[in-house]
Amino acid sequence: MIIAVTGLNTASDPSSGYGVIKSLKKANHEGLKIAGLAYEPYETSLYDKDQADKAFLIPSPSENRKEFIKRISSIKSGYGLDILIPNLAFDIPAVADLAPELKRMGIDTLLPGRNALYKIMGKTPAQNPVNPEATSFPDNRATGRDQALFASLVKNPVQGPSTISSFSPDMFSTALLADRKSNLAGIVSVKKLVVSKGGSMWMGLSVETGDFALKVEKFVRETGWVGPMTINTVSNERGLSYISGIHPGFPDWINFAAGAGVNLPAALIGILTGEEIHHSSFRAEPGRLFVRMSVDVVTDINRFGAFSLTGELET
Amino acid sequence: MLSEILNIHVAITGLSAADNPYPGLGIARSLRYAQEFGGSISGLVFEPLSNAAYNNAVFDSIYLVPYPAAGNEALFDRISEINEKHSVNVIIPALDSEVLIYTQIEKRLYDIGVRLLLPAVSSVKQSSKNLLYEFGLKNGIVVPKTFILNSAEEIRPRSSDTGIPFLLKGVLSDARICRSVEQGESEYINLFDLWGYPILMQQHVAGEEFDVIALADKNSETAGALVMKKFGLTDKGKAFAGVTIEHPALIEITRKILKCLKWVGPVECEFVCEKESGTSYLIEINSRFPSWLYLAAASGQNLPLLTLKLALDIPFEPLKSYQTGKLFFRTVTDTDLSPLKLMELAAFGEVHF
Repeated sequence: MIIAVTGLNTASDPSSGYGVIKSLKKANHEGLKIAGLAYEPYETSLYDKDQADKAFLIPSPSENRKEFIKRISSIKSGYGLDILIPNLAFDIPAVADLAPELKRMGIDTLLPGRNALYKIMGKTPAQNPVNPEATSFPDNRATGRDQALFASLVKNPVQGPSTISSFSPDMFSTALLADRKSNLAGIVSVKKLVVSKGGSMWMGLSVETGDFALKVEKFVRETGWVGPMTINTVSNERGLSYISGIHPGFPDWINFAAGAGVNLPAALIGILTGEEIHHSSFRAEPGRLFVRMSVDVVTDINRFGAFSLTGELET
Repeated sequence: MLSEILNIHVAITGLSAADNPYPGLGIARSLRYAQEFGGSISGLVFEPLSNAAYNNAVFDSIYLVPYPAAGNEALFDRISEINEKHSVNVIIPALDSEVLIYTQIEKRLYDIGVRLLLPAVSSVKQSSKNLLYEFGLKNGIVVPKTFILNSAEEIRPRSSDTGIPFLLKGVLSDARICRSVEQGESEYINLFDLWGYPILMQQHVAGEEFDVIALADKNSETAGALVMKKFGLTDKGKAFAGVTIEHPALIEITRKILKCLKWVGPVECEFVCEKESGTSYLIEINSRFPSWLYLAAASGQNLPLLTLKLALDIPFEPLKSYQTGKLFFRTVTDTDLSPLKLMELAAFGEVHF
């Protein structure tokens, strides 16, 4: 089985394709190959040899659908391609539109229809359909251990004075996957401990989704959602939680979910193929710590040059 | 002599590595890349949420240390405490803000067996952004015209010297290209709010950007140097990709800079080569390794390893060549672990993997 994944730039705020590939590799499915699809040769995680098995340059489906289909068709016949997982804000709606055509070519996707996309994409937090005022999630009272952790973080024992005066507002993020009938196939939530200005998470803790899962389940059903979705929330000093963003697609931290027991990209493959390719529980184990860090990989300028010219890269 | 490198304990700072990473993790990775190094590496961090310190593939321990604002005494006391438990042979500070502090306690650290390889306070001060233009004039090194501004009203008269566009810079960080006097007056306020006095106004040089990473020995001779051409910039203007190139002229200018500054230790010199004239302008000097330093190790110049040798007075051969055409890309790695490690660090000030 060959799965193609987009969203491979990890230069600054990582795109989620990186985490999707890591999750799929963790599932360890026999015969699985990953094709990395890049819109430009600068998508940095392509040069990490532990990522895609092969990479291809492709045109943007939102700018030139005909060329996109032509290129995907040539990748399908030359290398093979069974499932496509788009991961970027601009390519998810475009690929969703092309899903019937891709299906005819023998390429499967798990994406929402236009109506469902419209329902979530134009919403401002004030209009948010999940009723933020009534949201009880996030719940960081889940375990005594978590509470001790948060309390212990406010001081530096070798210095005395507080080094982190406040965690307010607390930021949380929930990733979910809905099947073709808009039933939840898995849900996982994190409390963000270190966040960049661009919003990506560099340290985080898995937490109980709590009652929020019920609201999410209802929301998914009512919107007719299919595929992955990310819901970001913030909670103020009074503990009230507000939705700060709803995005189609997996979050940048999705590979952490696999570590906490919920491998949503693997579950997506399972839904499409009808087979259980990796055990993925419905809810995540709370209290796991996720740490991401920036590192440099070194390659040769000729590899970059060849990829730019030929549009193909053996990794 | 080899065994000295194999068994030593090195402590490294600068371990925040998110969207705009510090160099600490690159230093540690470079040491682990070297076959000659088999010692242990500790991370020194100001606070428990320093993500790169949790890379247990390269670090053996993490210790909390006081913030620079706590002063020299507090830092010395903490290093002494760590050193008593687990002898530290060399510390490689990786942040600009720390270099001056470590320099000031260098002698006392030496007395307790902890070595550093750092420039003198006077060298660091001369290399600072606000004195760089004068340094260039005095030593025949081309630096863009730079003026220290005391108020936004000075922008208009100074623009006849710098030309338009010009740059406004905070003294520690940040730079804005201004395409009119009015834009400059507005950016002045933004920069002042962020960084305070002084604000620097600098001639804008259009051209290709190059960085030189170098290491000076205790006689201020160049022990290693490598030129990187920036290949891709993030929206914050930081290089996420760069390629090693042969550029003897920039190596020579760097060699001269290190001599003139009486520099000792790691340094990064940033240059812009003007398109029309081909002149290389020195834009900035950073008194530490740059975040992209792993490229140098992978291209044949392992400067952190050489730093250890120089700090410990182990005989060394200067590194005079490197592989060109090596390209670095910035990406991410991650790990998931029990939060107990984080709690342990927060509660006890140290953690061991």
